[in-house]
Amino acid sequence: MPQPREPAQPPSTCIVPPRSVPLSTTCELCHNRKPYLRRPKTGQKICQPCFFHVFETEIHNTITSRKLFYRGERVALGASGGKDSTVLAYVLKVLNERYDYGVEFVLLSIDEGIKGYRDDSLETVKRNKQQYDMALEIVSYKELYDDWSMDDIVAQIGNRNNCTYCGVFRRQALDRGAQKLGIKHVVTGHNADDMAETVLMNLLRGDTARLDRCTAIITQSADSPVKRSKPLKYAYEKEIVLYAHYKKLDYFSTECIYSPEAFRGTARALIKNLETVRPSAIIDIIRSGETFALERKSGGARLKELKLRTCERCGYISSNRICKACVLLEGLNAGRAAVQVNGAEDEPAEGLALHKRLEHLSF
Amino acid sequence: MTLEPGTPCRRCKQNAAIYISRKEPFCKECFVRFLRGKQRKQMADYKVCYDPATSSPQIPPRILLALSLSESSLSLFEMLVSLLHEQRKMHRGNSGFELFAVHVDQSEVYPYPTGVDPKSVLESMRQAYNETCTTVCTPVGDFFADTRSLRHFQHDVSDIADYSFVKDLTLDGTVTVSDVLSNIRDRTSKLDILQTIRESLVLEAAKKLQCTSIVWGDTMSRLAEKTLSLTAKGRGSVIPYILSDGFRNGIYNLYPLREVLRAEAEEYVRMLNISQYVTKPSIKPPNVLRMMTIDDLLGNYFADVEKGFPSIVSTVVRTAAKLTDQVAYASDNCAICGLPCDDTSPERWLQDITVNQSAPSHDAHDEQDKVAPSKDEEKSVICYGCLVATKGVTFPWISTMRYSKEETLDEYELH
Repeated sequence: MPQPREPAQPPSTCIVPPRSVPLSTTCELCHNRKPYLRRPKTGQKICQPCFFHVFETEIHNTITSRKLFYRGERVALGASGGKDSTVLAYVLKVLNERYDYGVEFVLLSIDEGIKGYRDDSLETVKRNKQQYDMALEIVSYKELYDDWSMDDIVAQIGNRNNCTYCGVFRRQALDRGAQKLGIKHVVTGHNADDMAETVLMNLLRGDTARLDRCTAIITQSADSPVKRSKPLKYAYEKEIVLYAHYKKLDYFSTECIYSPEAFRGTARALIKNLETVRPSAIIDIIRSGETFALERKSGGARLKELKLRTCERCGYISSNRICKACVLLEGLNAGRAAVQVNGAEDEPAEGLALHKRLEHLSF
Repeated sequence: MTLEPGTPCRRCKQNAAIYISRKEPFCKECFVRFLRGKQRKQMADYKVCYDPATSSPQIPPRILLALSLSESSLSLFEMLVSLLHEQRKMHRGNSGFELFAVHVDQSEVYPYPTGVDPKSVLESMRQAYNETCTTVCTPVGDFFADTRSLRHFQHDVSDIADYSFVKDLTLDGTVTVSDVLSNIRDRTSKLDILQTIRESLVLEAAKKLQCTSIVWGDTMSRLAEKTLSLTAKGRGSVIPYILSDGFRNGIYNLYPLREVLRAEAEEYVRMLNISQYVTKPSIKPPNVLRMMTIDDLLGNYFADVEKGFPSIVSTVVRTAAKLTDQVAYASDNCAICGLPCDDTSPERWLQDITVNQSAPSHDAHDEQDKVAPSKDEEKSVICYGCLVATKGVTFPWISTMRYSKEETLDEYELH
C-alpha cells in the first residue's frame, strides 16, 4: 500500500517544532533517506523506517534486558482498544515473530459497561483479534460484580471517586480473566508518560507505599495470583501515537467519559511542560523513580504475616477477610437496596426533582 | 483568608494582628518569634556548651551561611544574628557558634540590577552586624582560580559525549566561568552548572574558613521545588543526599528553614526592615515556555497548585525526607557535579531505551546490531543527571556520530 502524501509534520500537535532552521536534508540516523518526522524523545529528525526501527528495538531491548517472557509462555495482553494497547499488541506480534520469543499472546478485554466508550472500543478489539490473529477473552463487570456496570455505579455514587471502584474492579477482573485462560502473566500498555505521571503523583501526594515500587517493570504482589508487566514503560506517548498513525493501526481514541481527578490533571500538565523544555524529562523522571528507595519497617516480617487467604465471599485471593472489591460491592448493594425500599416504583431522580420543586413553593 | 482590621494576634491576644500565616493571625513580635522558633528547633545543637570538668565555655564551632542575599537566606542570616546576640547576653559574651557568611558574586555571568553591588551590600551589612559575623564575598570566577576545582571539569569522555567545553578548559589556564556557561545552550543546564559552581565555591570557603557546618537558607517551598526538579532532571538518586541534613564532603550541611514557607521568609524580611539588603542577580524567567528552566516551571507549578492544595509543599518535603540515601556509600563521584554516583555507566541504561541506530539497510544485515561500546577503564564517571544536562535537548553521544549541517552552520556561520 503506497504511503499517503502527507506533509513532513503529521497533523497532530505532538511534534516539537524545530528549534532553529530545520534544513538537514537526510535522516540523522541513516544519513540516507529523507527525514520524515522529528522524534519526540530526542528531537532527532529521522525517516520513517528508522523511526519504526528505533521504536521497536527499544521495546525489544526492554523485553530482553528485563527478561519479561520465557519461551512457551502464554501471556494475556490487556487490550482496551486504545492506542497504547493496540500498539502493544501489534509490536509484540512483530517482535515475537522477528526475534522468535516463542510466546503465545491472548487478548484480554474488560467490559466496564460504559456506554459510548467501552462498547465502541470493544468493537476495535474484536477487529484487532482478526488483524493480529490472537484469541480474545472479554470479561465484564456486570457478570463479575452482581450485575453492576460502571454506568450503574456512577448513577448511584455520582461522579466523585468512581475511579476507585473502576480501579479495584478492573484489577480483579484482569486477574480473573487471566485465570480463566490459565494464564499467569498480563502485559499492559502503560507508557512512559503514564509512568512519569505516577512518579510525580506519588511524590506530590506523599504516597510512600507506592513511590519506590511504581516504576517497577514487573509487579507481583501477594494479593494477586497474576504478575503484571509493562513493555511500553519507556515508550513516549507521542511516539506511540505517531507509530499507530504511520502504521495505520486500527484503534479507538476517546478518553473515558468519566474523566479523572483534577489533581492528576495538574501533574499531567506539568509533565507536558517539562517535556517541552527538555524532551528527555519523561525518561529522566522514570530514571529518578527507579532510584527511589524507602526504608520498609520489617518488610519481610509483614509479608510473612500477610498470609495468603481467600475472600470469604468471592474466593478471590485477599490479604483481608473480605477482598476490597467485595467491600465496595457491599456498599453499592446496600445503596441499591435502600433505593428500592424507599423509592418504591418511582425513579429516584424524578422523586428528587419533585421534592426540590415542592421546597420552592410558597403560598 | 484576609485580615480584618482589629483582629487580635492569636498568640499574645494583646497586639493587633498584622499578618496571617497558616490561617493564624500574628502580630509582629509573635510572628518573628514563631519563625525564629522554627529555625532554633532545627539548630538546637548549637547551644553554648560548658566543659563539665572546668565549667569554662567550650570553643564554639564555626558555621558558614551560604548567603545568596535572597529573602530566605537573608532572613536566616537575621535569625542567626539574633540567636548569637541572645546567647551572648545570656552567657556573658559566650556563644554556641561562630558565624561566617559567604556570598558568591555572580556579576561576571549574570549582572545585578544597575546600581547594585553585592560587595557594598555586604559591606553595609558588615557595618551593621560587625560584631557577630564575618562576611566574605567570593567572585564566581574564583572557581577556576584554584586548580583543584578545575579537576572536576577535566575528563575525557569523548566516547559518549560532546564535552567540547570541557576540552577547551584544558587548553590553557585562562578559561572563565562565563566561557563555560556560554558553551551550554540549554538554559536549564546552564543554571544547573552555575549552581554546581556556586555550591563548590561555598564548600571551598567552608574549608578555607575551617567551618564544620554549612547552613543553607532553602525554605520548605524551595526544598519541595528542588525535590521535584531533581526528579525531573534524572537526579532522583541524590535527593536524600542533598536535601536532608547530614555530612557531605566531611562538612555538616543543614537547612534550618525547612519548616518555613517562602512567603513567611519574605514577610519576615519586610517586617524587620532588612529588605534593603536583598540583592538578586537579574535572571528573569522568560515568558516563553520553551526558554524556561525546569526550576522556573516547578516554581510556577507550586505557586499555582498551592492555592488549591495548600498542604502540597509540606507533603513533598516530608516524602522526600523518607527516601533512603542509596548513594552515600557509592565509591565513585560524578566528574562534573562531584556528587556520589552509584551507577558508573548510566549511558548503558539510556542506550537500551534510546536506540541510536538506523534501520538495517538491505545489503548489510545485523552488522550494526549489538555493538557494545568498548569500555575504557580510565573513563571518568558521569552521573545520569549530568549526562543529560551537558547536552540538554539531545542525548550526548548522538552528535558525536556525525555533525549535522545544522550544527555545523550553528558553529561556523557568522550571525
